[in-house]
Order: sequence, then structure tokens, then C-alpha cells
Amino acid sequence: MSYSFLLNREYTTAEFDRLFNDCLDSLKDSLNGTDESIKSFLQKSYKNMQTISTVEDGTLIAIIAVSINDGRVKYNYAMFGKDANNSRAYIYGDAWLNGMHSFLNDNGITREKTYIGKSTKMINYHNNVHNSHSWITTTNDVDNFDDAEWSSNDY
Amino acid sequence: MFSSGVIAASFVDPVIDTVQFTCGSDALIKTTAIGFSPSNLFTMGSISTGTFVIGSGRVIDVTDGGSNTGGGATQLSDDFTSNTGANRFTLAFFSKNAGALPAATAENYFNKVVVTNITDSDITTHAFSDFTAGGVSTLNNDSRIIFQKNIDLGWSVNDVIKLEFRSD
Repeated sequence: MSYSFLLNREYTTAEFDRLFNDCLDSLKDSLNGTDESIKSFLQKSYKNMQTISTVEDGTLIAIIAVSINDGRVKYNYAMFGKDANNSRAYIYGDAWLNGMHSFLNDNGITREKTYIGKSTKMINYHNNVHNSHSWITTTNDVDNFDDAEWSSNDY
Repeated sequence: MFSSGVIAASFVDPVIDTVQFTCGSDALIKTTAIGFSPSNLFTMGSISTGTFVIGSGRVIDVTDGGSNTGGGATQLSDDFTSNTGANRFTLAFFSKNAGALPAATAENYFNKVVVTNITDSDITTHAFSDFTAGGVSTLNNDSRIIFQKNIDLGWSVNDVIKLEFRSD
């Protein structure tokens, strides 16, 4: 297994659709609407945002829509598709996490932040992963948003 | 027989002010915005015309990220959300260190705003009465109010947008 992390890699409609279908259950946990309205929402959002893609042995397996400003990345939306093992567990593995950290370092990104809906799968992911990587997950209603928690690294 | 005379006329420029920016994008939870804001929460785009004024003459800040207001700052954007599927035109005005913004009336803000998407050569006009106003929020002498209208403006990242606030 070999991961490549790429900034603003172009993707095909087929690639987008495959990732969307692979993780629709998680997307519906975080976003509202029908399958089609969520897909339309993400298509428009991704089209207008920077992205960090993960390619495994030539196959696109993940695209994260981000905002990058002054050395800080804010993770907005994520589509984690299934890898060659038909699994999305790679996002918990050291190979993917370390590769992601190296990508951030290589691009001068030293700070990370994300806002996450409360009681979602993604907040559990951040709690599990980021606690082990020195992130801080705040569960109170900071920044005047009472429907979200936020996580940060160096914030 | 005609006598010469002078026709006295008064003329008040109906343009309150204009502001021009290049669209960026950012997202917060379930909403994506395309436009301009210096907010610590929604950081997007770049502005080329600096501060601008509203109908009351109050100067609107375009640089502060909402350091005293939890990220509440000026925001000029085309928003869409997965919460309701709605598209919104958002005009949030932020005043720095000048006390509370005036009440939400057309006289105090604008009677209409002409939106020119310079990139797409598209012009639309939006009446003040079509917007829903939030309350004036004032904290530490900084003040903010938000106006929103349900519409899809169709902006994209890197579009250059000019807003012309008018009193007529």
C-alpha cells in the first residue's frame, strides 16, 4: 500500500460518484437532505473549494474539501471511499495519518481546525484519532455555534 | 418673447457606495459560502475597494475578523446549505468601535443593491424590502447586522463582484 496526498487534484465525475456512494452513510450522518440534494450540495461545494486527495496505488480513495489560509487548514467536508480492501479503516491507520501529516508539513500548514456536528460519526473519529495526535476537541459551544463541536491542532 | 432664466435643480447622487471583491469560499458545519469575508469563522475572498459606507453614513469595516464578536464580521456572500437546501444572498455589515449600528431601515442601509458579476457579465437588482434583517448585535463597541434574501446568485470562486448600494 502506498498513499499519495495531492493538493487540488482534478477528479472525474466517476471518481466523485464512487467516493460519494462509498461514504453516503457517513455523509447522511452529518448533512441534511435527500441523497440527491446532498450530492448536489457537495458537488457545488467541492467545485469551489481547495481539496486534498488521497491516491492509493493509482486509485483515488479520498477527497477532503478544505479552506487553507495563512498556514491553517480548515477541514470542511470529507469523502472517504473504500480502499483496495473494501474498507475505510485506513483513516485510523498510522500510514494514512503520518502521510497526511507529512503532506501538511510539506505545504507549510501547521494549524488545523474543523467544525463538526454534535453526535456524529465524524466527531467520534476526531475524538479517537486526534486525542492520540495531540489535538484538542472542545465540546462546549464555542464560537457561538451551538450545534457543533470543534477540534483543533495548535489553536 | 422669451426671457432667459436659470432652471435651478438639485441633484443627489443615488449611489451610497460601491464595494468590489473577488470571491473565495469557506464552509461552516452545513453551510458553504462563496464571496468575501475577513471573519475568523468564514475566511474567504479578497476585497479591492476597502471600507464602504451605508445609508446612514456609518463606515463598514472589511478587515476585522470579529476579534471582539466571536467571529462576527462583514460578510458579502452567496450561501447554500444542506440544512434546508436554500440558497441565500447574505449581506452582513460590521462596524468597528463605533457603537451600535442603526435600525434596519432602507434609509439607514440601502433602498436597493445592484449586483454586478463582472466575470459573468451579469447584473441583478435586489430591493431592501426583499431581505430579512437580523437584529443589531453589539459587543465591546463593535456592532453587526445581517440581511439575507433567498436566492441563488450563482457565484463561483474567483468571480469578481461589484455591489452598488443605492438610495433610489
